[in-house]
Amino acid sequence: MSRSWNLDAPAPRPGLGGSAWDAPSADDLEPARPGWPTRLGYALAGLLVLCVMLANFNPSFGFFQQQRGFDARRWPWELFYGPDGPVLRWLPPHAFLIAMTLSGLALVLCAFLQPSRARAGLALTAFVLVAGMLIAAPGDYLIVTGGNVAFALLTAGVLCAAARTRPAGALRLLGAAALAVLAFAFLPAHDAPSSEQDPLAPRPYQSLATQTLGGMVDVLSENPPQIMDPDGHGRDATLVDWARGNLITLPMLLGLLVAVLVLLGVGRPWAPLVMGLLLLTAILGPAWDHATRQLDEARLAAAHTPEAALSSADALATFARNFAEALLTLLRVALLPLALGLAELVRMRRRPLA
Amino acid sequence: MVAPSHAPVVEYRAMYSRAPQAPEAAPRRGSTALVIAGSLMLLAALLRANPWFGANTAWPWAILWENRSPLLTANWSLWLGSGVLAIVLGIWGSRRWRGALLGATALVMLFTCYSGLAGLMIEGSSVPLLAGTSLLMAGFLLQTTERAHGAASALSATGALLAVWALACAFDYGAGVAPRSQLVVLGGDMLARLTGGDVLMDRLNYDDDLAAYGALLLGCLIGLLGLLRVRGSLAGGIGLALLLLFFLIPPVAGYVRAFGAEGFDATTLAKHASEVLIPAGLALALLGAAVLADLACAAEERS
Repeated sequence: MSRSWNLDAPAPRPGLGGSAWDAPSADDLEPARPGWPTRLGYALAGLLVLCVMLANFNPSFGFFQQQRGFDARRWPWELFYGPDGPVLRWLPPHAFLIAMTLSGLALVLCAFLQPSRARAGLALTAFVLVAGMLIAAPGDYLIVTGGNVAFALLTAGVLCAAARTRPAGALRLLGAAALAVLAFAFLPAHDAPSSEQDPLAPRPYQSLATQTLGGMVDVLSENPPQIMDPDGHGRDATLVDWARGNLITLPMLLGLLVAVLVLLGVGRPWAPLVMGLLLLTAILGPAWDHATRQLDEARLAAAHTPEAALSSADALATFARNFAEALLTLLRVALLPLALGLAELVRMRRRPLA
Repeated sequence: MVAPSHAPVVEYRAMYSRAPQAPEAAPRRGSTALVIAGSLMLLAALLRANPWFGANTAWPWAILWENRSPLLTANWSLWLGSGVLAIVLGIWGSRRWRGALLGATALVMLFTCYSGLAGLMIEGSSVPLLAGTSLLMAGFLLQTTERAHGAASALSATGALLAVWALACAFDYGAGVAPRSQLVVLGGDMLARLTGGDVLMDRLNYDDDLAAYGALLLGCLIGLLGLLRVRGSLAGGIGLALLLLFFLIPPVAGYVRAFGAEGFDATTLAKHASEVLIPAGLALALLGAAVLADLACAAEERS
C-alpha cells in the first residue's frame, strides 16, 4: 500500500520542551493528499500547456514561427516521424514541442500523484522547461514578465499563509512576493530615449500601477476619454473598458490587497479562492481580451470585403490562434505550475496555527 | 503495598498543558557569501562610475542626485540598495527575514537588469541562463559548507537543467541556414578544438567563449551528479571554481591581451573588472546564490 505520510512535519524542538506549539497536530499526521482545488489546478495547468502546444501545431491553423517561414500546419508528431521514418533533429519547433509536451504531461500527472514532494518537483521542473524556453532576450516586456512571476509567487504565498495549517515559511514568502509585486507595479516603465532625444532630458515618472490608477481616475472624471467602437462610433469609456484594458495590472493590485489582508490575519478561508481566481484572470484575461479584439478586427475587415466573409470555422481558428499566442507571451502559461509547485514545496513544512 | 507513582503522569500533563509559547527569537548568524556579494555589487558600481577611470565620470550618488530619468534612478537605487542591504543583513541580520527581503530584491533585479541607459546591463547571458547559474552556484555554496544536502542537490540539479536547457533553446538564426542551437554549436566546436579541428565561427576571441562555456557545462555536469549523491565539499569547490571560470575567462583574457598591447592602464583594468561584475552577471548571480543558500540554511535550521 503506497500511502505517503507527511513526514516533513516539524519535530518538537528541544528548547521548547515539546510544547503544544510544536506538537504534531492531527493534520501533520494525515496523509499528504492534495485537495480537489489542487488537483483541479494541476489538471488545468497541464491541459492549458497541451492545448497551447496543439494550437501551435495543427493542420487547420498551426502558426508556430510562421513569420520565419516554418510550416506548422501539421500535427506535432509529424515533426518527429516523416515519410522516410523517424526524424531526429533539434530545431526550434522540436525544442518547443518537447518542452510543452513534457511539461503538460507532467502537470496532468501531478493531478493524480500522491506524494507532495513529487508533485512539487514535477511542477517546478515543468516551470523551468517552459520558462527557460519562453523568456525572450531582454526587452521592453521583461518588467511585466517579472511582475507575472512575482504574482505567481504571491499566489503561492497566499495559498500557504491562509491554509488551515500554516507552513513555517509562508508569511516570509508572502511578504517577499508582496514586496516584489509592489516593486514591479511601481517600477518606472521602460523609457530608453530614442536617438533624437536628449538622454538627460527630464522624463515623467510612469509605471504599470500609475497608468492603471490614472486611467481609473480619468474614467471616473467628468470628461472621460473617448473610445472607438469596432463599428467606428465614438463613446465615453466606462469602468468596464478600463478594467478590460488593465487586465495585466489589475489582478496584481487586487492581489496585493488580498496579501495585505492575509498578513493582517483576516484572509481565511476565502483568500486562496480569491487569489486563485485573480491568477486565472491574470493568465486568461489578457489572452481572452487580445483574442476577442483580433477577432473583432478580422470580422470588421471581412465585412468590408464581402467576397471574403469570415466563416465560423475561420473565426474560431482566429480566436484560438490569438488566444494561444497571448498565453505564450509574458510567461502566462507557466504561472500556474510555478504557483502550485512553490506552494506545495513550502507546504511540506507545516506548522499548526497558534 | 507500594503506592503507584504519579510522577510520569504529572510530568506528561505539565508538558502538554503548558500554554503555547512563542518561538525562540531567531539567532543572528552572519553570511559571508552575502557580504561578499554586496561588496562586489558596490565595487562594481564604483568601478563603473567614478571621476578617474569610470565609464560614467560621476560618482554613483551624484548620478542618483543629478539625473532626471526615473528608470535610471530606479536601476541605480536598486543596485546600490541591494549591495548595502546585502552587506548590512549579511553581518547583522537575522535569518528569519533577510532571505525573503533579499530574495525579493534579487528577483526584481533579475528582471530589470537590462537597462542600457544605466549601464547595468547583462550581456551575453539571458535571464534564464543567469537564473540557472545562480541556482547552480547556490547548490555548490551549500555543498562546500556541507549543509542542507537535499536542498544543495535540488538547487544544483535545477540550475544545471535550467542552464543547459536555456543554451539548448537559444537558436542562432543565420540567413539562409537552418537555425542552430547554441548548445549544439558550442558542443561541436569544443569537440573540434579538443581534436585539433577547425571551427566555422569567425567571432572575435571565440576561443575564450568556448573555454568559458566549457567550464559552465562541466559545472552543470557536476551539479547533475548531485542527484546521484556525488556531492560534498570537494564537488562543491570544483563546481564553484568552474562557475567562476565561466564568468572570468572572457574578461580576464581580454585584459591580458590589452595588457600585452598597451601595458598597464587603470582605465582598462577597471573596465574589464566591471565587465566581469556587471555585464557578465557575476555580482547578480552571486547575490542570488547567497540568498538562496541562506534560505536553504534557514529552512534546515528550522527543521
